[in-house]
Amino acid sequence: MMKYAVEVEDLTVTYNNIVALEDVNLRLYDGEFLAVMGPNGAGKTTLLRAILGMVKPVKGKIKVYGYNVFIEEEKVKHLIGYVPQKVTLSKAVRLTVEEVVLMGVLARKIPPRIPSERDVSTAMEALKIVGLEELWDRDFLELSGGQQRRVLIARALVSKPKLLLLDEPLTGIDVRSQAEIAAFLHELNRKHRVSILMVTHDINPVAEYVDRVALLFKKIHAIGKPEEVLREDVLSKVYGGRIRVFSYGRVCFAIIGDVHR
Amino acid sequence: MIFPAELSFIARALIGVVIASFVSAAIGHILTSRGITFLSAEVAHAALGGAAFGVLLQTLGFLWFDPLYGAFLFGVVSALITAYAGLRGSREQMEAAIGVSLAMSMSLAVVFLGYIRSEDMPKVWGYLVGDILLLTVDDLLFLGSMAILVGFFYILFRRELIYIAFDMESAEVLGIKVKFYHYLGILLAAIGVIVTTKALGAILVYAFLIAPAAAANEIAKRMYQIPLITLAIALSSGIAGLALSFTVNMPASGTIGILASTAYLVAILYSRFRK
Ligand SMILES: Nc1ncnc2c1ncn2[C@@H]1O[C@H](COP(=O)(O)OP(=O)(O)OP(=O)(O)O)[C@@H](O)[C@H]1O
Ligand SMILES: [Mg+2]
Repeated sequence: MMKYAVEVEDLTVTYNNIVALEDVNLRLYDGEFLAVMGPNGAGKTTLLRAILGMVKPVKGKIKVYGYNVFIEEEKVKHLIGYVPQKVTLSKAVRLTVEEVVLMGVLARKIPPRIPSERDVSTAMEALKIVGLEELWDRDFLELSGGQQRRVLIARALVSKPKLLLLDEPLTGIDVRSQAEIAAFLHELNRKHRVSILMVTHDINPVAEYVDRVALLFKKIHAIGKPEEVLREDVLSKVYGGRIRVFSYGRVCFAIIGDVHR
Repeated sequence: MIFPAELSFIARALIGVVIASFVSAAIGHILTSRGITFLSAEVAHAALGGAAFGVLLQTLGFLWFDPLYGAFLFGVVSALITAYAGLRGSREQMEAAIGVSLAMSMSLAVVFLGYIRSEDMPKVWGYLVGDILLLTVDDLLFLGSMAILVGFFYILFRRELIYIAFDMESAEVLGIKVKFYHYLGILLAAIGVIVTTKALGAILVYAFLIAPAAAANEIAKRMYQIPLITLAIALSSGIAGLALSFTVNMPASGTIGILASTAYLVAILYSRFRK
């Protein structure tokens, strides 16, 4: 049994001499649910892309379930489900919602990747989870932004990954669906022991479910239980002084910028 | 021999059109979904330049060098340059590369043509306006085997080709070998275009390879229908074009081009009024 889902060691990533990540060390336990927070440009997306082996670091090692992500690329990719922050979709390719979700299943098969009946029902189950099974027949490009996001979440789930990397998956999704997806992630995490690394600006929907929260700004500035990290003195290290935290018992944290009295 | 050598020129033209229609179904789908339909024009004109180069070599004494070799060489190289420019999946970068390669091939063609004896000119013109009525049995065998090659790889890898067209980054994350399929798709397209250029001519390649697929994109409800509808449109405009050209004595490839483009206009109207 592997102890860590992800091991990031001394990771440094630069883009044309701009340092995006500097000596980042991070370990995600197998079965853990970790939220990563940090301001815009903090390097959160870069971290996820590095874990996927898609940006080459200038320094450091990354392992996913023991596999070096830069050597055993394919194995690693087949262990991971990824929901990107933004996608640049081609308007020239018209796929139905079902076909988009099926991509997640068929990518694991060998060409010509013909979907079996079972593949189709797996895709439909994933769509049910994100609450869009009725839209299976629709043109993906004709969906609303939030609906597209939910379809992409379904595509990441459908291959039953051991590790989910989610880059702001709840942004642009209505409050009720946010709660539903968060509850589902929780179930996936607890029942099926899927490890989750989720980048988010808004911790509220998942605050009661996450095991730990990491605060990233080029480096990991803090990592620990939500109540240890979601404190004004800790958060102000990366967000500056004007941050206020309200907590309602142990359940909900609200973080807001400037408070006028 | 599959075909008797004395096959009438009408039968040969018909077979040529059928081969080109199958190529159109595969290549049209690849190029329209990548959004780089002008690659077909680029490769066709590179093939024209290559054919001129081949004819020139023949006049210089290299008789074994069939102009078709030149067409393949130039067409494939120009397509690979474009593929390299678009390695990151950016259509804008590919578009610029397509324009530059097109300009380059046309310039080369003009230079080569300057050295070609006037009695050899028709060999090159065939690549510009098509010589569907002059196809030999050997031509057909060659075009047919190339078309089968293209069709085989298309059927085997069409999902990968569509996935990278849809979103290259997601495809990569899903573990698809994006670079390989990027090059493969463009290479297949190049081969298909060169084959069609030989039959229909550079000017009409766009009409025959792109218009049917663009029409199918308007009509189709599902992805898998696109190549089938494309094939139907290409076959019917190809065969009807040949028939029409014989009955009213119009140039064959021009007639086919007019019909294929008209099919696209009709498809647009159909899809607008359906909504
Ligand atoms: N492809 C790229 N080329 C050059 N610089 C980049 C590239 N991607 C990211 N950067 C830079 O790296 C830094 C980190 O970017 P990243 O996208 O990882 O931030 P982020 O934490 O995800 O921000 P956000 O909250 O806005 O999504 C930024 O300064 C950004 O400008
Ligand atoms: Mg980001």
